[in-house]
Amino acid sequence: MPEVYNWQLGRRMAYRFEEAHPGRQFVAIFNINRCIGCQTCTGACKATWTFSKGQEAMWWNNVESKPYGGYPQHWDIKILDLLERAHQEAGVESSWEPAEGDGEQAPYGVYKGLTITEAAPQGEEALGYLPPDGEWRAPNFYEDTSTGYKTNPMGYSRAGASLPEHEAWFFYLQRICNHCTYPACLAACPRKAIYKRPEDGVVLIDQARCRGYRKCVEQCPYKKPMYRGTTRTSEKCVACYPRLEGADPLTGGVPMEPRCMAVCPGKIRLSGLVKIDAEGQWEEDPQNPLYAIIREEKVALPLYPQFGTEPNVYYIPPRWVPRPYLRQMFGPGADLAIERYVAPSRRLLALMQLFRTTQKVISRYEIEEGPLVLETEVDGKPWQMYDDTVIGFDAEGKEVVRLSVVEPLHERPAERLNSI
Amino acid sequence: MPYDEFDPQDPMELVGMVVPGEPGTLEAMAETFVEEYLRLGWSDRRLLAFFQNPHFLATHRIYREKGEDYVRDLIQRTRARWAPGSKGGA
Repeated sequence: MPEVYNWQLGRRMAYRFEEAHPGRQFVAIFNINRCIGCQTCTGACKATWTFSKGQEAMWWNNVESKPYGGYPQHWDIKILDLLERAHQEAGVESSWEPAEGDGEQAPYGVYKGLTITEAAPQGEEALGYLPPDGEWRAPNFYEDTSTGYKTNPMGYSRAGASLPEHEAWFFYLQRICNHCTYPACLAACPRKAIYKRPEDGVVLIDQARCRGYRKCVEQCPYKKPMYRGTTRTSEKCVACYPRLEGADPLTGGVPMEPRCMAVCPGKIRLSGLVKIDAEGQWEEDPQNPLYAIIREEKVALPLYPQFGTEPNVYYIPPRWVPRPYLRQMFGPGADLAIERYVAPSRRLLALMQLFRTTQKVISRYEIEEGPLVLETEVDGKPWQMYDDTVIGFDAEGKEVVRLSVVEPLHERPAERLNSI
Repeated sequence: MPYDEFDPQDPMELVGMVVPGEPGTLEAMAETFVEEYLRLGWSDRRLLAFFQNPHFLATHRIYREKGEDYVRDLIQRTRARWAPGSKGGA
């Protein structure tokens, strides 16, 4: 099996194909700290892509409440368990060596365990399992889904649903396809029906080639390809590629964020494109907000990097959750990410304002320095807040958004509560 | 059994799981949410409603567990820390 370089693991790893990389890669950041689980993203995706017959149980975007929620049920527990067993059989310990880190090449250190491609059973491209149909039945099974209740004649409950209650530390995990650099679904497909687009790194299933063997469903560790019985093919999140291509008339030809990102009321999402060099590494681009937040500020982390697919959706981990859980889910960068997010740098504080402020992809930003407005202490250390202004530019270099750190609050007057 | 009768023994039923917590994490979660939304420019009234509304499971859980006075005090403390000049009204 050829070897490819995975910067999230800090080392080379086994993969079915030789290295081949797009010129730009679709990347997203989700800030878990702000997510209130309203499922607006889920609804927007559903209404855009999966409203047809055969797609009833299909949620390309879902928000699951951790630690127990999952779609399909227990997907991460199951793959983590399989991977752990593979380590035991191979006599290898699954561990990270942060001390062996090397700047851009290995920012989180070196992963010493097995990836899902390295732990693949004989004849398979990756370690995986095929969830039975029942496990796709409902997102957040055992979690936010309501218990049964009596409805009134109109079909709803006046008292509201009875919801399960958590003692404390659950959080919402937003999930779409990770459009991985080394997709396990792509490697798994016996028909070579899955491809990664050279222009933006979006991973798609060619519906004309797919015959529904479901190897992608089995071997994607994130369980994001889904089988559709009515067409006998598998489908997955397409990163709203027509919007990313600038095909939506609303943006005048410049790239636009996917629907799930653009509708988020909590302003938790930011997405766009990063430049990839010939070796497959991110080109240094500190004026790209995604590059600055992920590669320089290091507050956004990949989901289960140990799987080895180099996912391209990054998460700002929740501050209140026990660290061992976060380290398992986001790798050894979790502690530093939280430390930096709790007391953000002057630049990071300004960059956080850019989340979901425009439907257009922000390709570049600039910061205009403003006055010192607050001096306080965070975790016993002095911290200053400056009212800087962050300016976002689209792919054509046109200014699309301008925000200050201390934004004015405009309240609609009572007599005009509804603008329609 | 009628279809709408709830059966907690049925593995395909919609039932909830309670997650055990650690001391202090509920408070940390409450502080995070108030801080995040206050810095997005939310008013005190809107922040409180976010906790009062039972459809926001995370924040309403805190409201029920700790009480309205705790939430009001938390909003004031967080505003004093992050936006000392702001009124938080409307």
